[in-house]
Amino acid sequence: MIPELEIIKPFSLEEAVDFLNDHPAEARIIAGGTDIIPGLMQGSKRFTGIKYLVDLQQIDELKEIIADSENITIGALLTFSQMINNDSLKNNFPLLVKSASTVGSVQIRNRATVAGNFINNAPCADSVPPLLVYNAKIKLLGVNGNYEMPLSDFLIKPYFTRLKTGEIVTQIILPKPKKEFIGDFYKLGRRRGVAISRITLAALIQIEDNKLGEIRLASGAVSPIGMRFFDLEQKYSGSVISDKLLKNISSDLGKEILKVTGLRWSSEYKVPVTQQAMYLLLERICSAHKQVK
Amino acid sequence: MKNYDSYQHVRGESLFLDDLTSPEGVLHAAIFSSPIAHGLIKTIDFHEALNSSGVIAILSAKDIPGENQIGGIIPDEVLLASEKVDYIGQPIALVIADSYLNAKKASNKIKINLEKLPPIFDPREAFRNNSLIIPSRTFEIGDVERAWKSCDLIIEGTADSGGQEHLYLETQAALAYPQEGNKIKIISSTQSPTAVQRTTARILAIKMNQVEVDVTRLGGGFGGKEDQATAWAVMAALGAYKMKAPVKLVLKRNDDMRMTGKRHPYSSDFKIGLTNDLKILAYEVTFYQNAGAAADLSPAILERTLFHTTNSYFIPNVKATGISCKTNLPPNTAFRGFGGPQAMFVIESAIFKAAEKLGVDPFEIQEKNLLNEGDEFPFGQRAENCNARKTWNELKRKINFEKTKVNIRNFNQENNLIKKGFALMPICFGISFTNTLMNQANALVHIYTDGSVGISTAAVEMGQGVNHKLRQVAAELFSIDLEKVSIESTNTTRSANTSPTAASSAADLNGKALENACRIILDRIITNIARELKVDDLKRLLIKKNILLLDNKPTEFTWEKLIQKTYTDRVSLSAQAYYATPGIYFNRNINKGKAFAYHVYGTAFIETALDCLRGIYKITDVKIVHDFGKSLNPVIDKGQAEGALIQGLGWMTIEEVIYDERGKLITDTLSTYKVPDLHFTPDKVEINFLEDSENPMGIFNSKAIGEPPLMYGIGGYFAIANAIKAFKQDTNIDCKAPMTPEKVLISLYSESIKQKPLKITKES
Amino acid sequence: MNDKSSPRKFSRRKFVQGVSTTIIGSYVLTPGVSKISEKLEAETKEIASGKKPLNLIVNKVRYELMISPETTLAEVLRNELKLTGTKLICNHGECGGCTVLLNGEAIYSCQMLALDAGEKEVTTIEGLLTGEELHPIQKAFVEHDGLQCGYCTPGQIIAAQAILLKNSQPSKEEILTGMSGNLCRCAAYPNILKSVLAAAGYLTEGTNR
Repeated sequence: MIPELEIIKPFSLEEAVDFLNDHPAEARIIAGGTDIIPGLMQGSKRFTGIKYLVDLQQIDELKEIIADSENITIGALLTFSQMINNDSLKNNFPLLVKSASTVGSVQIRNRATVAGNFINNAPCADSVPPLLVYNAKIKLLGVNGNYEMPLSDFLIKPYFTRLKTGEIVTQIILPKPKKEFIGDFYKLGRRRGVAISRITLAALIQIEDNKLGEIRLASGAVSPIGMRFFDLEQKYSGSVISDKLLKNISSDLGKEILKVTGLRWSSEYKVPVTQQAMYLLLERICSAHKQVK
Repeated sequence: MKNYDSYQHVRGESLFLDDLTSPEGVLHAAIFSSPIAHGLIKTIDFHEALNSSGVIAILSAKDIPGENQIGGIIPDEVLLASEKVDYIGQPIALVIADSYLNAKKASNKIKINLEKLPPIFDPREAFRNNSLIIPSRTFEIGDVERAWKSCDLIIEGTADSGGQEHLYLETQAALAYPQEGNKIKIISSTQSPTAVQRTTARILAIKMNQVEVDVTRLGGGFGGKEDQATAWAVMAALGAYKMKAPVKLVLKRNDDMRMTGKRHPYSSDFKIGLTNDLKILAYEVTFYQNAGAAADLSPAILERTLFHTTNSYFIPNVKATGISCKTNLPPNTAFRGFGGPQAMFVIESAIFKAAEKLGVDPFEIQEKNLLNEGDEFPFGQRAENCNARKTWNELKRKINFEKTKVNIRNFNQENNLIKKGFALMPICFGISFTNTLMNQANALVHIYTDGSVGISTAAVEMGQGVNHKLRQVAAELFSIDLEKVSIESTNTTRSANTSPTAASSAADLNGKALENACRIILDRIITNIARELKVDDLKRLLIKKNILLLDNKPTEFTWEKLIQKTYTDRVSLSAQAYYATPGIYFNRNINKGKAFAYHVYGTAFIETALDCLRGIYKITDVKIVHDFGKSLNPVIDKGQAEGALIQGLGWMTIEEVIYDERGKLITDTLSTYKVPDLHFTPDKVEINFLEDSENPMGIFNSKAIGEPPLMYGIGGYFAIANAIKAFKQDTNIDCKAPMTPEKVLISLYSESIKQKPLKITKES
Repeated sequence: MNDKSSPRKFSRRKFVQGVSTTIIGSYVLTPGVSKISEKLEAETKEIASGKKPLNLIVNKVRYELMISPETTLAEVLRNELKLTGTKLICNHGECGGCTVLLNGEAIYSCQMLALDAGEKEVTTIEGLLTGEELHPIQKAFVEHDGLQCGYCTPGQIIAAQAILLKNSQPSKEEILTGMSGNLCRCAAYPNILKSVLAAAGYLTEGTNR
């Protein structure tokens, strides 16, 4: 049983923002509820002091998928199941859809939302590495109106984001990759069903004449938060593809992760596994490219 | 034959305790428990909690009218702690309120002052501090000291197995009602109604005939409700007794996980000696059992460990010592297998290590040492109707063993990152409570005037299908339709002084008692109708398929008519009968005797595929030849075997109970404590019934099924170990279960982080 | 032997339907207070203390309820509508015991506020029967012994129903995916899988030994 709460059901985003600003400490947004309801039920410290849940379900614009020539924009309330079943997302952002299908169980995917996945900036949010390699931006609405921000800027440190009090993430903007990218997503969890992921990786690569063009690499769970490896990407962009190169990239990735996490018990196996996994991801991607050619 | 209970289960109509319509005016209880693992209670302040909304009362030790004692085997456990706390989650007070939420809120407002004492969590440390539950015990056969001299190889090592959370899906629960005459009625989710009754009487200082305990069915037990359902039922009873109102106590999942004991973790030292031709000559083992903070069932569990020291093998010289260590964790308790699995894991580890050293496959040592008819166990019993070698050979034939071996070797040569491993796992498990006196049961049978039959026994239905089996026994003996037979709730007013539904023996003991009761009534019915039909030789009369036959020809007497006739002739249609397993005894002074009515045998082949990149494994194939005796119900028995196997695999692989350095359970949710799901389930599970197995000690020649197949799961550990070694031959397998994917990864990669450059492997 | 025509004495579903006509209108929920005279007073208080109206359609029956806003759907089903086939096992969205269909899709009713289910179609295990006739999935679970203690069974069956509603010919992978959010501690999984395969028409009856 959850302690007494009020549920607020605003009919517009503006109403919601107003309410959140009027009750900064006591109000929290509820989307699918798959995180907040069990959390409240268990008396989790993350949710103490909450008196109002602002339910955004009736605001239809938060559930829309809008495609134009540049972007596909998805509403923050889109569930993972809706993502998985959307053809245009499947075609343009396969890694994201693949990651979505590994979240929780069917029952959770039918309720949990993509924004809800990263809004707490838990290290284990499965959809974050793919969103990062797709250069996802998010749209926020606050008292001062709308603004956009790259997701990689939004996520600061574990359980902290740049979300200001009274703001709502309304949309996720996914720029359609201009060039032909190939990529893959890797996840290590304990059990295939309902697993809190321990290592997630995403790699998106563009290949030109046996050379690496643009590369984008991201990790989750193994790093404190979902993160991109911009320096590494820069360093290796333009290199001629060889088995050695792929090993070097993977090896460097492990070192980068060690830099941010420090050597601790879990890195003992996570880092070498991450290196190995990244190598295989890259190898798969490159050989898939060869087969296409 | 399909399980009769299924029809109501699939409709969602089976009523478990929390599904019962609550009585008018029911009060709800929440438990205030110890926040530290070891300490002295200085002060407790209930003031604020008592003023909390909806609170009716807070009961603590001083409110107990009788003796504050719930220990079953040893009186060393209080119901509510008042002076000293010995583990995190130990109940201190019972908060009673108009709703669970209000009770819970109030319990959060209780203020307690404690003086911390140093806790112990490790059993070996407890042993060094002489913190023991009982004096150590040793089972011995032959002379190990002399035998070492004849051994060509001696290996010493350590093997540890972890705890296991029962995770019965229905949490601990009880509902107690005050009755007239200072009596109390308790509906409890327990495997042991008599223990609840006895303990309630002790706590409330009333007589056992003032306590009625009723059990309809359990949403899983697995041993977790054998001894540990009692405390909650007694607390509800205490509440109802004091409040003069019904009180309901249902543990929330995380409270249940935090407050109740698990399967005992064991840490064991072994020494095994073999000759060059792979005969095990000597085996010495010391089991350090992590009992937790009170005896609970630990002494009995330790004893069963000692009974299963040598699993399915004959070893002429054995010295096995069991030490029950007292630590500051919730008292660990019964769990399917009851100490047997822990023993078997150690002998299998010893064989694995010996094989490693000798450069042979473990199955070569296993096969060489399997039990034969007449071989003596370390406790003096001899193997009778021994099917160890029979199941082993039959399995090898079924799986085409030589070919399977080659296939796996070839697969491993062709694949770099996926490796297969396999193990053979023989089991031999003794059936009977090792406490001989518990091997008794009674049954009460009523035939009502419409011909329907009602049966009361001590057997508690918890998914093992015992209700259906009992129904079959009565239906078969009376030769009537199954629909005419109904199994009543297990109730202490109808079945008195009963043993718990445990030790896999509920169907055996209660079935036999039921058989006796049915025969008594049958005899009366036949004798009576013989008089009517003027038949002298009773053998000429027989009931078959609801009709009375005379000389194999139908008479006018249908079952219903026959019953009516018996009733009008004023012959009793009710009987109560009793059964005690014959021929068993055990002398605890010398640790010798015939402890078991019989043994269950079987052998499993377990194959795994290991993803050496992720450390994820899949148990791909399991084939088992199991000795079911003459199965009473093959459908139910096969389901039991499969479920136990998977539960055993879970214990050995993904299920890991972790406490932090303060003794707080970290794995207290289903996201942190992983149990098998459909994905984990082996792709192929094939259960074969050993042919021509008879068992006169079992009901209708059947054999007990609940626990034994769990131990096939141990093979999963060694199958994975072999897969690891196929990837990295020099990996040291540390014989510490569970073999979690994290652990597999560490064993595969832990050195490479220190090594530069990095070794990266191609997929194929 | 064939037990299919087993007699039954009590149908929960009928019970609920039977009283449903009185529920429509104004049905105010009260906890089990001991004296009737206190009931009215309590009801008035509760309305004042912020109970919210909820229009819930469960198993095609419409209920008009007044509930505390923080009540979960599972709590309403079990405590107020007495549809206790839906089980609360972990109450944390990790076990599947509380699985119900919401507009035909499987969800965990423990992690959803009841108010959120307003005007949506909820189906629980009690809603699968047609009269006294078992649903084909229910039949398959009986036929293939896809259960032991029965506690997870309603959730398993509803999860299976969700799979088959989406695709009457699901692949094995789809079945594994759709069923993996439902735990069975008895580990009756081999038979659960068999039951779902049978319900999808992949197995002929009577293949279970």
